[in-house]
Formats: sequence, structure tokens, C-alpha cells
Amino acid sequence: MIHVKNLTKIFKVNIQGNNTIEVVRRLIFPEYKEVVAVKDISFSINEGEFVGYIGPNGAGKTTTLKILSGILYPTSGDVRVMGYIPYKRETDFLKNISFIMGQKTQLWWDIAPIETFKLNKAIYKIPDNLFKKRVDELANLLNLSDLLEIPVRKLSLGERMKMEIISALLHSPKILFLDEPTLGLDMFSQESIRKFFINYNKEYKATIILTSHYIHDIEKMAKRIIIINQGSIVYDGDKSGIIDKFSKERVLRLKFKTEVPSEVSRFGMLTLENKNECKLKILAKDLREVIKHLYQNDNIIEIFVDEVPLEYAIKEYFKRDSVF
Amino acid sequence: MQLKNILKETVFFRVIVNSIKEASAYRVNHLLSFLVILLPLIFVLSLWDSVFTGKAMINGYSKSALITYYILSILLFDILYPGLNYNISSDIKDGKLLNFLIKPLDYLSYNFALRAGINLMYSVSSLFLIFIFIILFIDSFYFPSFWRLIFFFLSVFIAFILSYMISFTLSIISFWTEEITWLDVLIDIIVPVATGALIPISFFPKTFSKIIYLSPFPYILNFPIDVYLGKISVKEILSGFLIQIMWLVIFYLAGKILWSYGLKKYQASGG
Amino acid sequence: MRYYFSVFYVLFQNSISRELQFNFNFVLQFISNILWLLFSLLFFYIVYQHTNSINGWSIYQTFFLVNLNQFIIYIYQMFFAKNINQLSEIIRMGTLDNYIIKPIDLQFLISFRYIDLRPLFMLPLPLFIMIYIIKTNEHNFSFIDFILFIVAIIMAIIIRYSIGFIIGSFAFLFTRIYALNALQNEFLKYAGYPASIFRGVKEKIFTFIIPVILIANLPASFVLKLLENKEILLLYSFFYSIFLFFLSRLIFYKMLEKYTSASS
Repeated sequence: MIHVKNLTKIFKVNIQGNNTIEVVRRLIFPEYKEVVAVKDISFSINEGEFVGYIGPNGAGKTTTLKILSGILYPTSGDVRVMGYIPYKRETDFLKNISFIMGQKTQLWWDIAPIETFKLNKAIYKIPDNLFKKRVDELANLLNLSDLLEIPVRKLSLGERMKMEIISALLHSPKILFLDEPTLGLDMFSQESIRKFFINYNKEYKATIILTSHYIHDIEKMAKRIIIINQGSIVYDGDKSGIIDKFSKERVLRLKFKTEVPSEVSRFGMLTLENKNECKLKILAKDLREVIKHLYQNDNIIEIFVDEVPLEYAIKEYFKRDSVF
Repeated sequence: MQLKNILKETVFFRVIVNSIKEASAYRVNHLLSFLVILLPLIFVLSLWDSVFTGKAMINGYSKSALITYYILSILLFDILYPGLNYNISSDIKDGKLLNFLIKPLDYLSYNFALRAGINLMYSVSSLFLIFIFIILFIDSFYFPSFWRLIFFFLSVFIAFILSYMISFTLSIISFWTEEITWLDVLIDIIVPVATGALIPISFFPKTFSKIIYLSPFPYILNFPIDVYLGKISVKEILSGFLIQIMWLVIFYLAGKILWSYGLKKYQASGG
Repeated sequence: MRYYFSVFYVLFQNSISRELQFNFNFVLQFISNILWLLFSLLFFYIVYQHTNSINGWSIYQTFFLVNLNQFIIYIYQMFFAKNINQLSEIIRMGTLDNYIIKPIDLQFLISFRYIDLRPLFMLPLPLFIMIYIIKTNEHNFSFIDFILFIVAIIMAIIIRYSIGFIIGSFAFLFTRIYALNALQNEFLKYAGYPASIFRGVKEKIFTFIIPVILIANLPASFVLKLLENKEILLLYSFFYSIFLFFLSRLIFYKMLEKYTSASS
């Protein structure tokens, strides 16, 4: 559905001077600096996928989303979304996408959200009964049926975000671009919005591409994760693959019948919890070997492998590259 | 020009409705807006009153005609002002334009509907004000014939669209430069003079007035009011309409062309 | 008192380093201000094509008046315009809180926050024209008249400032007071109209209640000798300006009370 091949995006940024002389000179002879936002990236996304797109600030996430939605055009490379070339902004293309930005609202501020919905209804040519159905459905799912008639400025941030979501989904877009949708929201709103998108993706088979700073969001919502760093894709695949790839260590919790045998310490770093319990930190690649050995020990009662949080794994990766 | 299909009109309609609803969320203090208009009017009319002592006509305008001129001018000025549209320029600068780009929406028409909605509100208060002014100046107020009145409304309608096209074309300069207050200031000075709000353009020295008539501005205010006052013949009214429409088309095309260039630039670097 | 002068001096120095950039904006503002003045004069020039005097005011007297009014507007713009206009903004943005906690009179701080030096460069023009008119039209006036002229101008600025500040204080109540700002700016333009256009009730209203005439017409008449009872009017202007100033303080601090007790 989405095919990106060798996409590159370079921005020309104006350099301003420090003092008056430079400013004047640059007024007449403008100087530019080239900033490479995205460098030769390629990926494909199928219908119904839920993709998390992460990377540090300035990595190129939002740029990619904007190119996919047609807001920016690429410097080079081939981008096709549902067969369309996004930056051409053909009506049939636009009718099937939606872009939710955490910070920039499309709701009219002083009037009720329902009025903005009606406007979108007209823009996307949604028939009356379908419109009503969608509004009711979505409002129910997000628990704000009685807030539809209250002016937007009177709603809380979380409620506003949910209204924003309804507004963006009225026309049942096939592709949904989410740019930091839970930014600034309280825990509960974040949770309910996350649940909503997971559901939505399952039920409507909508393709969702999500960028977020909160690894939590990505962890819970997306199956597939693309990691972008300094304009290049460094990982594209499953959640679990990240842990395997980037996290070099594993922590085992061991429980023995009697005392913890001292030989356990030769597998890795041992921390005693109490007489018969301990934590063992080993290299990820040795996991199978170590477990095999431990099972052969008569004393062992319990072997528990700590789950490495995604956030930890990703942070470790970026720490290595010292980009964060 | 684009064919406005039924649905476009519906989007139009919805934008106007929303625009009106939003404007009424702010209870514009009617007394205040009345004062804003009344005070300058008192000054200007008192001035001309002293000038008219002992004279019946000045430059072809009778006292009644000039008084009516200024009343109409002050009432129509805000509605017809071809100034910068800060909605548009801030959409571009703040990145809100994004929201419009991903929708199958014609930005020019959208903003026109926005402005129409707001001005519909203004028109309602203007109607209210004009009743008051007519009563206050009942001796001097000029009442035109039926057909003149119709032509007047028509010319105001076209002037409104023309004014919007100029406003749009100027506002999308924001694609290329961040700093637009200079343009605002320039417009603020030139427009009252060139549209005839300050003084009917025929009062200016001949060469000055000829130059001004080369621009679209006199057709926004001075022309409609002259139509109302019966100052010009039917033939001149019709040619005036044509000139209005000509400028309208010119600025519409200019706006569309600038828009596509601006959009290209925006898609290269903005967002 | 010395404290306030020293603070003022620092604010002044800040303005020199910050505001004064000889850039495109500055040049344009300069040009548009000149244009504005020229158009005002053009307007009256046209009016005077059709009459020799406006109820007693000759064209040169009116020109003098227009320039004097412009001069007063520039002084207002230098010190107060931006600060008062931004009052609603700093309230809305919460910046006001930063100023409230400073150990200095809040009205003073807000009023002199920015000093815009650009009008300083525009002052010479109306000044020059005024001097030229005086010289070439044989207007005689004594030294005392000149002093009173200056005094009347100072009163006018205090009146203008106070009214501006009162209106600005309403920013605590409404977030959108464009109408009010528009009103006070509009009518200041008309302070350049000769007072002779008003007779009777109107004259009284615009002298004593909405004191437009006190702004430019009163000072001008010390040099041009046009208004009757100008000394009495000056006295009135003196008291009225003090009244308005204290009224502005009263209203401002009352509004501030409401603001601080209600908080964000």
C-alpha cells in the first residue's frame, strides 16, 4: 500500500548573520546550508499494518510522514501511497488519508466540535446517515457523547485530543498518520487513546503510522517498528527483534533449593538476593547455553528471564551512537 | 474559473455558518462599535459643514450627497477593506496550513467563505447603524431611486469579492517572507486614500485622481457610493461594473498563480 | 524619585541596543509615516481649495495644527503606544506575573517597558514644518506663550496616556478590545482638526469630556492665538490631566486586584 524507495529529503536552510554587516550581505547574497533530513530510506507498508516510527528529535520522522501525506515533496526517490504520488494531492488520494498532529488542531476554537465535524462532512462528502453513525460510534468508543456540543475551548486537553481524533476519522480514511498524538496528555487519556487506536486498527483494518516520543505508545500499539536515526533507517521489523538486536544483556532470576551455588557466577554477573535467590546478568547470546546448563543443575527450582523493556533496548542503542 | 458543484456550495455554507457562530461567541459590544464609527463621522461631517457655509455644491457634491457619502463610506469600509488576512498568513507561518493541505479543500474558497461569514455579521450591525444614522441625519441623508439602489448593492457585492481577491493575493506573500507588518502599514496608509474613504477621489488634483483610477481601489468604495448617489450615468455604471469584474479576475488569477508557486515552495521547505 | 529615573535610564539604554536596527522595517515605517503626514496635509489642502477659512482658521494655521498633532502622536508612540497596546497580550500570556513580582510601581514598569526610538527620527519633519509656518506667517507670541505652549503639550500627553491606559486596563476584562484600541487611535487622528468646526454643545463635549480639543488645539492656540479663554482651558487641562492620571491608576489597580485574586 505504501512503497518508499530510496527516499531522500534535503532542506535548504537560510543562514542568518550575526551582525548587521552580515545580515545586509546575506539579504543581497543569500547563503544556504543543506540539511539532510532523510537519506535514501526504503520500506513498504501493507494494508492494515500498525507501524511505529521512532527516532530522536530531528531524525526525520515527521518529515517522512509529511512526505507520505503529500505535504512535502521529496528531493529524490520514489514514493507511492495507494498507488498515488502524494505531493500531487489528488482529491481521491486526500479523501483516503488523515493526519493527526498532537499540537496543531483543526477544530474551530470557539464553537462546538460537532460544527467542525459537519464541516468535514461537507468536505469529504459523507452522506447524512453514515455521518451520524460514525459520530455516534466514535463518540461512544471515546466516551464523549455528551461533550459534542460544548465549545472546544472549554474542553480539557485530553477531551480536545479525542475530538480531534473523531474529526480525523469521520471519513473512514484508509491510512492514518499520527504525529505525537498523546503529547502532553495525562496518563489516563493516553491510555484510553492507545486502546482506541489498537481497536480501530483491528476493526477497520486501517493502516496506521505512528510517531511518538513515548516508547510506551509504540510498545503498546505498534507491531512493527521502524527506527530512524540521523535520516537513515537503522531498524525495520518486529518489536521483539529490537530487543534481540540492541540489547546485549539479559537478566535471569534464579531460585535454588538450597544455597546459590558459587559456580553460577562463571556465567555472568551474580547478585545475591537472599540465600537461595539471585539475579544473574549474562550476555544475550549466551542465553540458551546458560539455561541449558542451569537446568542440568539439580538444585534449580525456578529460572525466570526478565523482560527487557523496549525503551531500555532502544536507549541502549542510541547511547552507543551517542545521539540522544 | 472552477465550476462550483453542489458540494462546494455546501462546504461554503458550512464554513459561513461556523464563521458566524464563532463570531457571535464573542459578543461584540455594539455600543462600542457604534462609537468607533460615530466619533470620526462627527468630526468629518462637522468639518465639511463649516466648509459648506455659503455654498450649495462643492466639486459636484451637494452637502447632502457628501454627508451620505461619508456615512456609507464609514459603514462599508471595514467590510470592504482589502487588507492583509491574518488568518491566512498565520496559517502559513504557524504551520496550521498543514491541516488544510491534507484535505480535499480549495483554500482560496475556504477563506472567502470564512470572510463572508464574518462580514455577514458586520453587515447586520451595519444595517442597524445605518438606521440610526439615517435618523440622526434625516435632513441630509440622500435616498436613491430603486434601480440605483439595486445597482448599488450589486456593485458592493462585486467590490466585496474583489477586495477579498486582493486581500488573498497579498496575504500569501507569507509564503516568501515572515515579516509582513510593513505591507500592513503600507496598505493602511494607501487604502483610505485610494478607495475614496478619506475623501471622494474626484476631489484630488486631476493627475492624482487619474493615477488612482488606474488601480482597483476606487472601484471598491468610491464607485459603489457614486452609484448610490446617482453621480454617474448608466453607461458609466455599466463600464464601472466591467472594470470591477476585470480587476476581480486579474487578482483571482494572480492569487491562484501565486498560490501554486507558494505551495511548491512550502512543499519544498515548509511545514 | 532618583530610583525611578535610574530605572528609566536603563530601560532607555535597552531600547537603544534593541530597537534601533536600521533595517528594512525601519525604513518602511519611516516612509509610511511621512506619507501619512503628507496625506493629512493633502486632505486639508484639498479642503482649502474650496474655502478660505474653516470658521476662522486659515490653511497655515490648520497645517500647523496637523503637524503639532503628529508631533504629539510621535511622542506618544515613542514612550507609550507599544506598551499599552501590548497590555492585553502580556496579561493573556502570563508575562504580567513576571512584572508583578518586581519591587517597583507596576504602572510605571508597564508604561515605560519599551521605548521606541524610531519616532525620534520622524520628529524633525513636523517640527520643521511648524517652525517654517511660524516664521513665514508672522505669528508673534511672547516667551510666556511659548512656555504655556510647552506646558499644554505636556498636559496633552498626560491626557492621552491616561486615556490610553484606562482603555488598556480593560484588557483585564475582555481579551478582545480591538474596538477600544481602534476608537482611541481614530479619535487621536482627529485631534488635528481645527476646533472651530464645532460650535455649541459639540464644542463643550469635545473640550471638557472627550478632550480632543485639549490635545492639539489648545497648545496650538498659544502660538497661533486662536482659542478664546485659552488660559482657563489650560488650567482645566491641568486639572483634568491630573484627574485622568489618577483615574487611570485607580482603574488599573482595581483591575489588577481582580486579576491577582482570580489568578490564571
